[in-house]
Amino acid sequence: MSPGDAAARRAAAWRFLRAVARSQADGVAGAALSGLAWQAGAVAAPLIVARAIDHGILARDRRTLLLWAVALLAVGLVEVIAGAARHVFAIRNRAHSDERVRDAIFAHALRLDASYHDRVGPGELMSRASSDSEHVARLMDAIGHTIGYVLTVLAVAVLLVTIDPGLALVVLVPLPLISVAVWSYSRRYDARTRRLQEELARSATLVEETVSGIRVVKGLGAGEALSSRFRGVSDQIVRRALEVAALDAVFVPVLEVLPSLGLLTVLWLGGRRVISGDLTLGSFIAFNAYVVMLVWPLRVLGQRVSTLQKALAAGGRITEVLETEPRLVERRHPSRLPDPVEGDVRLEGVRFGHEGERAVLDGLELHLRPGESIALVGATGSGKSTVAGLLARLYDPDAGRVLLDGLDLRELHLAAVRQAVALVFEDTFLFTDSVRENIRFGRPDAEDAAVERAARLAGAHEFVEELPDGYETVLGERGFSLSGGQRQRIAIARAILADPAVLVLDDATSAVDATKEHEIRAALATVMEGRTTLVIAHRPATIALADRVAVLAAGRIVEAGAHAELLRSSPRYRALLALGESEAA
Amino acid sequence: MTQAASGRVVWRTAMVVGRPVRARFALAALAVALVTVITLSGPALVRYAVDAGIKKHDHHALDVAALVFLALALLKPLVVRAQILLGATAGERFLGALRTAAFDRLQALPLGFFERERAGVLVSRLTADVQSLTEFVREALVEVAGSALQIGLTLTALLLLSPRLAAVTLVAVPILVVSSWAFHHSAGGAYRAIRDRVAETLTALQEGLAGVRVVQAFRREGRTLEGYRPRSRAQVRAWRHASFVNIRLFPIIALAQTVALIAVLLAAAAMYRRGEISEGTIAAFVLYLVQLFDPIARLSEWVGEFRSGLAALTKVVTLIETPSGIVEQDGAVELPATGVLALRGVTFGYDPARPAVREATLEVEPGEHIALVGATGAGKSTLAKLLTRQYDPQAGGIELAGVDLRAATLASLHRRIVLLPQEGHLFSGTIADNVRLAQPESSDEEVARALDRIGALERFASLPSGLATDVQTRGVRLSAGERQLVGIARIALAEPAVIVLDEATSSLDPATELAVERALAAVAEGRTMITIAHRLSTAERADRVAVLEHGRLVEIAPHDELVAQGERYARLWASWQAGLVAPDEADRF
Repeated sequence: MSPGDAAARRAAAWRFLRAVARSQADGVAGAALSGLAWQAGAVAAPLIVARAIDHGILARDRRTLLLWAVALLAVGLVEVIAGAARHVFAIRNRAHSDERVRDAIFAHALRLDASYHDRVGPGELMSRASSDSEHVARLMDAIGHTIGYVLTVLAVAVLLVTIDPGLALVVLVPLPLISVAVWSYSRRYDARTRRLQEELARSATLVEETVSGIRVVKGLGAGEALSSRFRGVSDQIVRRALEVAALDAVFVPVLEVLPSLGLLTVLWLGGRRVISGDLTLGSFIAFNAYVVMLVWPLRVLGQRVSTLQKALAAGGRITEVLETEPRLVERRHPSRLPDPVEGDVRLEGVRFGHEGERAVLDGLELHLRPGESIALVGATGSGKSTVAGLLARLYDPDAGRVLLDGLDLRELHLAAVRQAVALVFEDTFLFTDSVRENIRFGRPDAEDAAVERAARLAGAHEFVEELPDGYETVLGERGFSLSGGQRQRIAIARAILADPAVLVLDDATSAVDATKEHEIRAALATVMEGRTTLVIAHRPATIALADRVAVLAAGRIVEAGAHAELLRSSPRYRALLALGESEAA
Repeated sequence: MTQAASGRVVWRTAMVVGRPVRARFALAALAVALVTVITLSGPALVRYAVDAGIKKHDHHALDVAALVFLALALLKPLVVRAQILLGATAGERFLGALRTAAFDRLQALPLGFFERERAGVLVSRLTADVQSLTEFVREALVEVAGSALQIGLTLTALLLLSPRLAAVTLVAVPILVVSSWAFHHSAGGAYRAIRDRVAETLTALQEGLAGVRVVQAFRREGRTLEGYRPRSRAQVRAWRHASFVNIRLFPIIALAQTVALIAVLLAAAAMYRRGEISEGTIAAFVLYLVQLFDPIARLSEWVGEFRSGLAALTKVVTLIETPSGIVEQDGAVELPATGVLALRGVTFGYDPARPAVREATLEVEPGEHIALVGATGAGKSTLAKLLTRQYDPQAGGIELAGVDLRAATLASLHRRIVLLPQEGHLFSGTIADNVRLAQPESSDEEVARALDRIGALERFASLPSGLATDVQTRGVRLSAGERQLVGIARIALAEPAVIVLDEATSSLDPATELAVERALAAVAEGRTMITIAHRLSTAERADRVAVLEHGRLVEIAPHDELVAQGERYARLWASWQAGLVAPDEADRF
């Protein structure tokens, strides 16, 4: 990464941290105020005790003693309340900032297009929403205390100057200089923290992928290999974390030394001046006491500098996600689709290539008239799924247009497009929820009867009824307990219930047993009736359901026509279908 | 997840995991103690400088005090540095060991565990929970030790200065007892609740992100967020609840200290009037009592971290301690490279009262291909899981070349018997890395040879970056058939003795279908193969067909014989040929 990029990232991280802080300004103010009150109490208590001893005990003045005792109790109570408030505010700020970051990442990720999610997996995003977010949260947790400490340092500095300007100067002058040095040194945290966070994300990804694919892992006995891979990642985390700790090991001790040297100066120079009579003993002792008060705040401030640097590094990783522009841009004033949508779909001169690769589609022309069904046939890798994704606007074409009822999809509300076009994937994703909720995923307000009707049409009703709790059965992670074919039938029911104007079945019946598909074929025919449908399938019987067949090769439609006609006339089509099919219609 | 591990178990496990870094932890604590002593010696030196030097106008004494002070001031950062490095090394290595122990556990747990437990929770345990322990193991442990030491030393000094005044400070004890009880009573639950809420939030994130394509296709972004937000907010509430638990302790300690201070002042005044105490003793006593502020403030900052860490540790240890029935016996032997695969009266049920497989007996010759046929729920998948020892039978046993699977080393078992499930799950990385998933040490040439053996080399090598092509997350850019080919190549590379194949039901485009069939034939060559057949065309090609019905093996013979027998399989075959029914649906007939 170039230095310019790093600087831009840091600037973005700063903006982000400021925005997070501003978004909970009242919490930060509350923490700062209560922190200040607590600190004031901590400073006042020893002073009160000194008065109580000098003017109360040693002067044998019981009234004064009692007075100071009451004052001490009052200060103690202030400290209790302020300390409690400071803690509650700190945790509130921490939890809210964590929530805000996490929510923002999730909400934004849901808006990012499929090509982004092809690149960045759930593990990576989860890591940014938890591990990176944690660093920002820690900064927000500390902010109130820190402001209290900064003010303490300033107040003590003022007191020192009023007692003895000369000695104060000797003690205080190094502070700003050292602060600059410390700050510039602390920038090294950025790169190292970033590398650590990257490793943590890698471990999250590996765990997520392992658990998601546990059946493959167990079946292959790959557990040991994965364990050793994970050990490698874990060792790398340890190494990176120790690199960060190596900075701590320079940074924190140096900060420890500063107040000590200040104390030494006071002791030696101040002591000599008391002996020579330039300074009173009382002033010397007071001076000493105040410098001691600097020790803890300076130490904590030093630690906060590294907290801040780590938060900046993490903030940079968070803004990377948040500042990724969704490639699917919505018009500010989108056009309206006619109501009802007719379902006239046209792809004009469409070119599309996945990032950095040669175009999968190049000059594709395809027209689906309202209510027409077309089967898209082509070899693996010919771009059939890409066409399906383009229709539902999961991607935008690099060139050319996709039109729905004559309107470019890019001019429409994304939500309107996706309502009009339902896409059923080959790889069915089921959510951890009841069968019923999974089916009405696209139409949450659908009634039970409608859900059941859709399930019947999709050939799912029978097996659903046989599940332990019928439609209320909760499906496991990724629908483990159902077979591939059963999962696909749920997905088809989902699409049927959504009742779209345009239905896209991307290999959606591939796992349904050939014989079972025969059964739902009639249902599919009903669903396709009067609905614009694009079917991607391999079984001739399913293909034959479509009004027309379009053959995709080399990025464009090379042949089109009725199934029977193509079977007769096209050797290429016969070659595509002829092999290995036992139940050709 | 199973019930939380008890405190004793947590500590025992932590001790075992932390054994290699014990010495470092001890040294770090020693360093903290040294820092504490140095810090405490500061005021003593100042007092010496004042009494012996300044008041007596003795330059030499002042210089000596200043020199000693300088030496300590220079020593302190070195000790602090040592403490940081020791604490970080010990802490991070401990976390690394904990993380890998948890991951290893995941590999040892049976499949059933993963069907209950959601991915997000497990990711949370291995990432967020372990990470939240960082401060705990690196700093909280030693800081708590250091603060406790400082408090102990200070209290000793108080006791030495004036036992009577020290006794007076006991007035604070009731306050401390009550607030400590109130805190510790609720802190464990409060912090464990945070870990639970974190896991739930991550689960919601994981599911939404893994299913993002469906979410977007059905415009469910808004509702997905709506479903997630309450969990995210619950996490905030759990934190805030913990903060209200915390304040039962932290600020109250300061109050106790103030009360003690006031009591001491009043008592000291009375004693002073009676001439029982010197002003020097009063000053010193009170000074030390005030000095308690610092370690107490530190302690209270770390106690929260401590409880939070303990909660996270409990969660991770609970995962590590989840029992698994599948363990390697003492004196386990290598599973032979080849031999007869024998099931002897195998009975197993997830609920032992209702066996899914009953008294299954079957002998499979080396290199023989068996097709398992039966309705959904007949026990085919269960049998497959038993063959790969995902579960152990409750009665009977499974042997390869006369060695019971339970008596074999797990490593050799995994090498000899593999299961190829329907779905072709890919890990992010290159195609080559995916093929060598279980054999990471395999060279590129070996990977290429394995792909070549199954006839898939050309297909992948012709991609722009060849076998180094990144499959990207979840392999969305490889087709279903290509994913299956990668799965088969994994097996070709593993060279097992027995392959248990859950036949994919997906229909592929004919060219890929053919490629997959050829690949399977190539990899099955000369190996024992048990196929869960979803198509009877597969059963027809097998050497023998085994028909399962309600967990029992009811017919075992070559296809032709069974068809000739005219029993169950023959009826299935007839309806399959009529294109009416899949073997899975056979129970309807």
